[in-house]
Amino acid sequence: MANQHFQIVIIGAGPAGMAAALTTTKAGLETIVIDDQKDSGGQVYRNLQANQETSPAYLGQSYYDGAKLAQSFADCGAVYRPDCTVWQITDMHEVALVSRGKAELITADYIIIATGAIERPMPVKGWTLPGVMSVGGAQTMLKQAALGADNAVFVGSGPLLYLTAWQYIKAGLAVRAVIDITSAQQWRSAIPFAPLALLQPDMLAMGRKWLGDIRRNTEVINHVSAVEIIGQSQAQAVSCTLSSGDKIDIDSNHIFLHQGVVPNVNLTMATALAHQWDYQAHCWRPVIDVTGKSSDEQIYIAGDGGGIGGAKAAAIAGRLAASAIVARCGMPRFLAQLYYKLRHLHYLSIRPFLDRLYFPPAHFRLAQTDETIICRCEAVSKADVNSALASGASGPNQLKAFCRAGMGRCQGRSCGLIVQEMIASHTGQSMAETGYYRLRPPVKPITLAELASLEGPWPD
Amino acid sequence: MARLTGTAATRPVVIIGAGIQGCATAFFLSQRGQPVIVLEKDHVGRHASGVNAGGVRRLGRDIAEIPLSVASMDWWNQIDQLLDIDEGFHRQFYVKVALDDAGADLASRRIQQLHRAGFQHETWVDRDQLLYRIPHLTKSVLGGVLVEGDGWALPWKITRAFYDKAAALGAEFRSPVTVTSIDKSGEHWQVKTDAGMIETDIVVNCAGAWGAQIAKMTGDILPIEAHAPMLVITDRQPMFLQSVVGVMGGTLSFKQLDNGSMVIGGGKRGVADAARNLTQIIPAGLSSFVMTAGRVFPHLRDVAILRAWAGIEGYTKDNLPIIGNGSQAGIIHGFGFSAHGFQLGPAVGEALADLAMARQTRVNLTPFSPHRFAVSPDQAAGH
Amino acid sequence: MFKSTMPENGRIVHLQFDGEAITAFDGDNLAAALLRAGKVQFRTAAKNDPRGPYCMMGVCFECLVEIDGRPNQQACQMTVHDGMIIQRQNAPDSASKASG
Repeated sequence: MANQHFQIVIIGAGPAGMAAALTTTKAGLETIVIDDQKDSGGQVYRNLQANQETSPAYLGQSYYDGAKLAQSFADCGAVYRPDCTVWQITDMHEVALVSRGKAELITADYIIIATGAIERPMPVKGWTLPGVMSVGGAQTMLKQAALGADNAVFVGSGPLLYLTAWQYIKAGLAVRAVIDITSAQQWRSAIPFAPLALLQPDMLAMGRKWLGDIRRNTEVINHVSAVEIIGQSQAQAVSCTLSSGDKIDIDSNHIFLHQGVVPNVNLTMATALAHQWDYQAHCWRPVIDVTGKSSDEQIYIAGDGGGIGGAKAAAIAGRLAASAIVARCGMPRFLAQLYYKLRHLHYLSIRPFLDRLYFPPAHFRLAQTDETIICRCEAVSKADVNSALASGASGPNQLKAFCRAGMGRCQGRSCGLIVQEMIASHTGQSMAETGYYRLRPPVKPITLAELASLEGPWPD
Repeated sequence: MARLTGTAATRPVVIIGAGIQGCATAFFLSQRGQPVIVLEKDHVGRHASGVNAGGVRRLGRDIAEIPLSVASMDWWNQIDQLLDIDEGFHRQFYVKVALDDAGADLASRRIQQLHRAGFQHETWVDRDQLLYRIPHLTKSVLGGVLVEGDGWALPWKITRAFYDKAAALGAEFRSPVTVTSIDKSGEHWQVKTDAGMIETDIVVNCAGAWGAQIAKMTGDILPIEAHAPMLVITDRQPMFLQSVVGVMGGTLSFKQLDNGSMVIGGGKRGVADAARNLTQIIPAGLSSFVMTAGRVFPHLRDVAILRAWAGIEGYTKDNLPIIGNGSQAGIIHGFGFSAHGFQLGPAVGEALADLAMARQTRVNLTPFSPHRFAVSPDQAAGH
Repeated sequence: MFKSTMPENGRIVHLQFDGEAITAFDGDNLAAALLRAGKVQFRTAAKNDPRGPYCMMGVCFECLVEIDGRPNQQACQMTVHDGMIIQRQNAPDSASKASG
């Protein structure tokens, strides 16, 4: 079977991908949007179309703000392939994907990668126990299944945590406590950037509303410096250490962790695109120009995958990248691009403030006890990693060979940043100098039969 | 030219490349009391030596390589004691299965050829015996060519172990250091790098896929090409394979590690960019070799590939390595192992150490002579 | 305990989890359906290392179950169907840490 070809291949049907498709289809460019979820919306607008029928109010207005975009996307005429997993982009701009057990190669003139963000890992003792989930996971359950945990404890910091706790309260769930790890020092470092944040007063107002409702409806424990989750076969309690040194134990079977989101760089790194360490946001991001063009002339990156900015910024970034491509296809879009650039800057104006306020504290970026699991997939503990470092592993890739951290199924998504942090701390190198796992395809695991299906059916 | 006469030289021997060949050479020289400086442009085992399929085999070798391979196996059989490690060599058996008549035919001719040359280590094993020893093999297998006592090792672990032991015995390793030129200075050599210059009498070129570049600096034109054979590692499976399995007429190999993961190498090449240390996986090639894997072990259909990679390796035109003295005194070459150098490493290290100390090597290295690629000055100028 | 935050409706479908009969709604996300049924542990990562869903978006690979005989399925990426047979997945005994 000949490979399909599209002028534009968009990977990801979140706000950035959907918005990009609107622009490219409007310009008449043959567009395909590939996404690994079953419905469009990515994570931020997960299950949006289904939820519009019942419209649970607790999900909040900013969620439903995505409805127009989702509807426009459904109508725009792009070929939409849900439930497809991209596992490689070759240097010939072939996109290798697998769908329902069958592999395909799709060639592209231009590729827009809009694969969004993932949670920053938060390695606390006991974080692998059943009942412990990321806050993003808890929110996804609300959106996807109208399901929430009673008596849950939220631990960490960052807008997503406050939003989700607020959604939980509005949904009528009893939230046992919010344990906040933001330190007073972080407030002080963020305040100088508050004026920029004032460019988005609605965002600040929303945040204040969330925090107010949370304070009125649950126990809030501030300035926590250490956290441990206790349990044998599942989470039973969370123990936190206050700035005073006192410890509080809170019983709960449901602990939700969060300390920010970071760009999901697995696909972009495996595609050998240039990346840089973002010191302000403390994460890796692809090197892109103002329109989102990567170090590859034909590949653009839009949305949180190029740098955290949130849903609205993502949609604009999608428009911006798409317009740049449309212009390169002979249809200049000067005014539109200018508009998008300005809107993008506007939406990003709150980042310096938020990035400093919710900067992940060092003692939560590193694990605090030897038994804490660092690599979840391979059950490698902090002690194991330290042992490998003591044996002379000097970088993330050497470390893999020493102790298997990063060799599991998630391909480093859960442990990469922790390992990098540990190596940097041990060697004294900067995070940028330390580097990251050398990521290779397949970007998600693919079975032998699925891969072979590019050639034919699996032998009997 | 100050020539060594079987004893230690006053200046450290400079070895270029800390793959298995370079580290093994450093080990043997250090063991004999010869100071050594190893220059590595990336880090120990960064390329082919750290990421190959780990096959430790005499099976399937070019006849010219067999004596070297057999000599190396002596070292493998005592690798734990040699390097102070545990479970360095997984000694099992290695079989290349014949999946069709063409494969069976090849097998038969191969064994005859070996027996005529006086080698008995490869034997034919029929279908029933094979299925008894490896129950999950495809039922349509016809038989195979087998070597008892071959097996596998973890390439990174072994390369690192040679490095560790050599260092413990006094070898000095410097990385990342890139050699920029090698110039004659009177009777000695000056090895210039991006981190200074070293004067020495002996330079051993173990620079793998970059061996030709280094050779050229010494005046030797020894053409190799850089390629990147692809491999995959799978998720863990219940243990089902206690041997290494290949395919007659192909380069596919399977092994199962202690933790249940399978390492499958296919000999299908990705794209190598030696200048930038980059390799590319080619989906169609990967798919093709995985399909062949399915013909051998169809029960692996739902096994997931967690990672594919390709190591940058140097290949010679005749697929035999280049091992021997260069055209100028004091230059020794040991590279171009064409994707089958891992098992040879210990014996090659020993041989290169012998050459560096002007001793007789245990194995005749004539088939690997750098001079087989000798070109006239006119031809050289054309490069 | 997980509970629904909206009135439950929809066609009931029947699943099996480790031999136990449980119900879900047609179209449910599998991980969510199992959590609603009170199942928080979906597998063991190594001997005695219990795990359950964590990210709900397909990046952590913790929610692996065997579905209708197929192993390593991410429950958070699957939709239930009537008659689905789900088994907890346990690491092969040979799973071990450290190099090798």
